[in-house]
Amino acid sequence: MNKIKGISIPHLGFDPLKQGDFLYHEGPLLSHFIDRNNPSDNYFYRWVDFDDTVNRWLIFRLSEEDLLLFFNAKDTLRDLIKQNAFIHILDLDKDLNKIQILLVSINDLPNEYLPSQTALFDEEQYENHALFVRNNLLNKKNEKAFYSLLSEEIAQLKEQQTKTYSLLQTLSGLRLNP
Amino acid sequence: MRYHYQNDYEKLAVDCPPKSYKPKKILAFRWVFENLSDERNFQSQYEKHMKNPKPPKRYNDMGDSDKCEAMALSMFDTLENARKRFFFLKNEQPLPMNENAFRFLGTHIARGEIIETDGVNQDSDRKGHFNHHPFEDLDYKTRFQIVEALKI
Repeated sequence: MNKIKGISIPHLGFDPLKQGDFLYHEGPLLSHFIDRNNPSDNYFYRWVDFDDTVNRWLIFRLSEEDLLLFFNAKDTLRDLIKQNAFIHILDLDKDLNKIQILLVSINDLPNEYLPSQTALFDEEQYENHALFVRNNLLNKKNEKAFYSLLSEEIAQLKEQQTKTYSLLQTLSGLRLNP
Repeated sequence: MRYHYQNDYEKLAVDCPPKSYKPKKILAFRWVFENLSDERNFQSQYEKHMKNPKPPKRYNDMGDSDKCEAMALSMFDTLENARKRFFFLKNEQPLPMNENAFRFLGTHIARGEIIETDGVNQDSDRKGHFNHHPFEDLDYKTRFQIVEALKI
């Protein structure tokens, strides 16, 4: 297993709650977690190494915008991981005991721990949970766009109403003073 | 009929095999090692790790659903789907899978017919993959034949 240059820390800095797997074959390969205390923070565990006693996971955070770029196959997972200045390395034993947590500068991460430069989102090969997250994000984005359009139209209607009211007042003044 | 892992299923807090799994007759494809008598060929991940716990089972969350899934045999519904998934994992996925694909996953694809009295099956997913929970006392090595080498 690779030796990694990093700072050993006692806790991850968030309280992980697993949501599902993006990639799975006889065990998770890429898993989605959120922070129990900040459920809109998305974290990903990518399996990167192992020895006789632990499996090693690379943990990184992605924003909702990053995830949409990934799902639209505009950015590779590799590019998105590299946007993080620091990532976590977590070594878990068979009983899920945290044997080591390291805070690692992205520049000190072994190249082989990153996905390939060509690996883009492939709907056919990813698990249902990935599609569920993608659809939720797209719905959220569409909902935002809809409400933004709706509030613009309401603002325009209010403006028109003010103008109409003002015109009516003027007309009513003209009738009173012929 | 008793399942091969009946005693282990009973220790889980989830329905195992899941209730949606059904018996059926289906042509199945599975990654295997070249010698069909190799004991790893028709062992579940659960059994492999019981017999050889190094490296440790790859979990990042300890749910009984994961344990149940580990007791199933992975199969594919077509030769093409079995081949495609293997090379997706080998070529595009994390280094440990890439370097160890022929050690962990297999070197060949075998084909065999699963029938209603063999066990229960998940419906195939988009990858053409399905889990098969076998009944006890089945000898798959005599029922499957190698049809393609993955390692040339």
